[in-house]
Amino acid sequence: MPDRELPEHIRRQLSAGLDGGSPLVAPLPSQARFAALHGATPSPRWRLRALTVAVAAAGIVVVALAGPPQPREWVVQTVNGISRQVGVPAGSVTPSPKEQSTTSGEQKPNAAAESPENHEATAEPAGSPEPEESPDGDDAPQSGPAQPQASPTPGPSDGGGDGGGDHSPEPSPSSGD
Amino acid sequence: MGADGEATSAVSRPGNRDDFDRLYRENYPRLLRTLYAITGDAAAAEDCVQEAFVKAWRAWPRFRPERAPEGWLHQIAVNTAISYRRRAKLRSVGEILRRLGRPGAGTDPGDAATRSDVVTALAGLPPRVAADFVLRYHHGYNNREIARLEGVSERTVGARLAQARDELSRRLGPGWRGELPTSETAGVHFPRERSGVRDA
Repeated sequence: MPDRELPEHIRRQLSAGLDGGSPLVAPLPSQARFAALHGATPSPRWRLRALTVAVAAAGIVVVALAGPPQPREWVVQTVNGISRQVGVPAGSVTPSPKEQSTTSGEQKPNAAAESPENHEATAEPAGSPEPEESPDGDDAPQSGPAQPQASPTPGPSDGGGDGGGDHSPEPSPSSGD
Repeated sequence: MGADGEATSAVSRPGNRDDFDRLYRENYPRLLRTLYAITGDAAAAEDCVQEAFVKAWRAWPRFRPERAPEGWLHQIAVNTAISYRRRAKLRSVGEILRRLGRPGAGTDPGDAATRSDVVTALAGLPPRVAADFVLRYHHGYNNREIARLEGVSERTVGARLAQARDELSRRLGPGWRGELPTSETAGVHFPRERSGVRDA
């Protein structure tokens, strides 16, 4: 196919059309759109630092999760030591109600130290205090000091010996039996 | 680029900002006119050229120095303009669908005032055909240089130019069909674009 040339007036027409609508002055390179991306390209040094930090963080996580469990053992040993010092069997060894009823004034502080609320809570379902307390309940007006320990509720202690055996709800049915 | 399509400008070092700035200054006018012929819109052409340089800047560290940077930039720019035309065509189809059943909006008078018949006719050509026509008859490249620039054969360039002349002569007049070079016009050298592209 022959390579044709355009006539001169056609070429002028073409140039006028192309130069007419488009701005021919190029913006400065600093004003070009790509110039805004110049600072955004990360340098190799920055990448190396980021890689180092990532590897270090991953190593810390691996050691924390899969390493020797010394921290947890230390916690367990410490808790065991403290519980031994305090007197561990506080929850397991519960004094029987018989001991409570027959205790003298020497055992009273120990019982108070071991939180009387716990003893009251554990003594009622575990033991059967009624047969032992019923004879004492008959003598309750005479034996005033023993009454506060036998009665689980603080009401009789406040009332003293004035009809304590009559108004207490628990001893009365057992005494009837 | 010389007659053999080799880069005769300064050595372009991949990733070098100063070399890229020089390429930008040298190639911007040529690319802008070429993309104006493809898009038919001056603002869109400018936008596409800027977008093409953004893409080129991202790929600049991986540029192979054995390749002519002008051709590399030309291909990026033409591909960007082709993508723009494709999107514009999809937008126009969507616009037509939205306007179904409504009165037509007609042509934009501002658009008609700024766009010449020549540019309108060029924008109606296939993008690579329009680009080759502008390179050949406006920027003054010969067929071999265009073939080197685009990485195609000279025969392909000749066929595209013939297609462009036929289409334009149908729309604009028989003068656009061109004339066979006579002994007087055979030695005519078109003025080169002010883009740093030099003869060898």
